[in-house]
Amino acid sequence: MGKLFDIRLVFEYAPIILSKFHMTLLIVLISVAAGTLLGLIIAALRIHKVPIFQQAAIIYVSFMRGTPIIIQLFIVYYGLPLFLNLLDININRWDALYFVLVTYSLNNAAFMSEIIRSAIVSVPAGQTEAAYSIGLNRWQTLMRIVLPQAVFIAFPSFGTRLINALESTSLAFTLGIIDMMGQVEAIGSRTYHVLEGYTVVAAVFVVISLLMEKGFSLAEKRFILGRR
Amino acid sequence: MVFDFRYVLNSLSVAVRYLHVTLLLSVIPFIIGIIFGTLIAVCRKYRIKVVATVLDIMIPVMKGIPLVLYIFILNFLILKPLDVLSVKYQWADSLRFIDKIYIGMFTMSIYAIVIVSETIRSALISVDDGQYEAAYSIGLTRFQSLKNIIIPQALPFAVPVLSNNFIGLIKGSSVVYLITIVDVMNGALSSAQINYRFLEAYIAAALIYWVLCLIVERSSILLEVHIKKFKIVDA
Repeated sequence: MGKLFDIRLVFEYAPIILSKFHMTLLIVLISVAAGTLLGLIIAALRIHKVPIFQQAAIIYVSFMRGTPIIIQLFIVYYGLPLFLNLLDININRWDALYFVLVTYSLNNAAFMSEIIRSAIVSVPAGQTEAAYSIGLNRWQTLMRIVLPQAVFIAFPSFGTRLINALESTSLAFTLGIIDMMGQVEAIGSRTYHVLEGYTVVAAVFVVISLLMEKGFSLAEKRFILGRR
Repeated sequence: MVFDFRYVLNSLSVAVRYLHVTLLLSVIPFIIGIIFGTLIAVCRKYRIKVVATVLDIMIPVMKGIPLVLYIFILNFLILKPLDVLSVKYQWADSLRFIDKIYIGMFTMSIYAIVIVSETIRSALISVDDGQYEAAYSIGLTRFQSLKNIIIPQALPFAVPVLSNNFIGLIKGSSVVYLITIVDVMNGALSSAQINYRFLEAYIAAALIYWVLCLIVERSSILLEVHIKKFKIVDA
């Protein structure tokens, strides 16, 4: 085996690895979007204290926050086919990517529900009461009074969560999907050079998360600080 | 294959035996992270010449790298040179096959230092600048003002976030199974190698991590209540 680290190989591998960047992006975007929707439902169940569902939501969120994503990945990977088999749905031929998307969506839903819930709770009760007193119904109050204020409160934590979601996608390769990490493994098993590939992936993650951080703090300054 | 709870118990009993590995991989890095993280945060807050500027660039960059990459890269960087050197100088095998748990602990420590230093930095920033100036104006040294004025006020802010960091480390430590360290996760899996009950094994591992995280969360809440007793309510 040759040199430990060959800088030329970094440039040779970079295009190959970057060509799989869309997989990472796909996982993040879909899982965050689905997670936000699911999170809204979970938050609503907890805020309106729907019996049974509320307790289930608490346990669900606690489980998702208390166990590593890598274990969740494998529980979904092995468990979901078994579970759906009971309902006579066969998903044994599913691509691993779907399991990854399901897991990350479920995981993000737990974190998003907490962000949304705490944002909604932190809108002063007087706002809701005022809305009711001028004759808005529950739905109108939520959509016109509470949510617009909650969005601004939730915005910074949403940004942090998005960056965390991006970082956690680096584990999706354990299910065998070829994203950036999977591509490095593939290159490594062919050439025994992994360090160069990891450097490229690390650089991509650093650049993207720095850009996102910068973008979110700019957006926060632009849209939020003036509104409080 | 039907889900069988007995195999969960079986995996659980095997995995619990490796609990100390997971704890070693999270508690020691957390302590190291608090020590060095505080040092880094203080350097950045007090703008120590050169050091602060270097850290200002280094920490945000290091924060962007996922833990898996740290583990793979450092595992490789530590093992390969050792391998080459030991072949060259015909060292004993014991050096070549260094126990991977040390690599795991080293990696987790670096990761912990990065995330904990950010937590402590934001806790230091959360204390009003006037407090720093007041402490300085009555002639306290930097160390005295930190110890007596700043840290007691920063603690209520830092404790919940630190407990989150610690939970992150416990959960993150499961990734070390990728470099073949036998922790709770790998222990549970090893019991499944015989009977192919992987789902049950993963659920057993998940249960252990869940309990660990719940314990940390509860104790952090208790600690918070204790700390807040000393907080002076704003007039």
